[in-house]
Amino acid sequence: MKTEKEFVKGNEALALGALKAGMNAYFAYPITPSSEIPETLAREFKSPEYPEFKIFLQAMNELEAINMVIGAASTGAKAMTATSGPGFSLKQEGISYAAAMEIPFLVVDVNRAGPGLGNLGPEQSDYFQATKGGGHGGYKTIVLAPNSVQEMAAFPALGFSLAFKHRTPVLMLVDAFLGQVKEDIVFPKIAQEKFETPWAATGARGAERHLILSLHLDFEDQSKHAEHLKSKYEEIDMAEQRSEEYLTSDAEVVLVAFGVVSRLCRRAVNELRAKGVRAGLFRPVTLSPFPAKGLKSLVDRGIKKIVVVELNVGQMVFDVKLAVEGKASVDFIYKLGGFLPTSADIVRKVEMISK
Amino acid sequence: MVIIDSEVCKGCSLCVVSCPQKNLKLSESLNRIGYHPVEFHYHGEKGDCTACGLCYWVCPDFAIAEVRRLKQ
Repeated sequence: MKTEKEFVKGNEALALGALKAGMNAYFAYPITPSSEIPETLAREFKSPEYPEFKIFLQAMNELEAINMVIGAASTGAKAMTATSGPGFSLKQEGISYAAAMEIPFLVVDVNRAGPGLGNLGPEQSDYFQATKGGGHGGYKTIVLAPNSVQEMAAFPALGFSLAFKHRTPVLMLVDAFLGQVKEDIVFPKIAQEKFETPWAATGARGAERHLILSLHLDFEDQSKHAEHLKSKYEEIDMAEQRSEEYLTSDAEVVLVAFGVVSRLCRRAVNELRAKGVRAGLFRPVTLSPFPAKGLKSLVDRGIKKIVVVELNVGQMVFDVKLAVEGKASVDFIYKLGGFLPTSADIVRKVEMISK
Repeated sequence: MVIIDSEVCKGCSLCVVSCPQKNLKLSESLNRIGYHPVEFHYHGEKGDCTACGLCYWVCPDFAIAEVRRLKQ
């Protein structure tokens, strides 16, 4: 087992992290900026290091890929797909079906600038689509947002574990910057978890018959199923809120950001502190369930100013406003079109706001 | 002179910034994966390429394939 530092690209780290977590099947249609994931997996396919990795298939399109993932995952296998903006839209139908059928798998969205084809630069504009259930019908998924290549390597294992624990599709919302950036990391030791899947349709001879379906024509059935999903989402909301805080204990202004922007904000916090502004950072690790409890407790401690920094026209800012319940002012800084703000941009604007 | 593997380049501009003679800039055209790759001009804004190799060292994707010192 190698333990020394490695210099890897975000997408590559994610692919290797998934393999180390014991992924069995991967189906996808390549799209920049996520293409290094299938590229790495194709390279590692049939490598003796990953005996669990049995199927790698480039589908004809994204619809086919997501339905293949549903098929593989309904047998209890650990399946994954990865895509970017336009492909993520195509996958919504499948994710909605999987949420209804309670099939656990992992979908990676390397968020490029949009809408439409947009360009290949980083943006966080798929936030609504990922966290609010982008397909039809009322459902939620768990959404993880890494902010470094190190976390890109560690989160697939966490994603699989949450998916099988709660029987739900798990999404990873990664901005194009993190997919493309190269950093040196030490691969975390990942234990390959074996998950109990008593619901799986394995097709084994003599085994109990399992039906996995999303059609409940009887109103009684559908309402019972919907109630069950609702209570499951409430349970996830209680148990799985994750967040990270930096220098918030004595802060006056708290920046809220996820993904690569949270790294910029961390630097901005340091620069603000050097200038005498007591700033802090709150970083959601799970975007859904949104870590409202953590944010609320900050506001309850007396923080009056919150500044949300995002690479979109204002999406997470609504969740932040809901979480603080009007007890703090919420300002918003953004950048669009594939650009990143600089820490100096953030510092200047926060200084203006906090005056 | 600098030889670039433009199909690997993601147009991050690290080499453009690091080049002391300004011999590198992003291309108008796109490569196969949709990025504007970097292109090399021997006569830069501040002078000719000295083959210092800074671009080679900063490139995270090893897209700068080779740096050659031309014989005068």
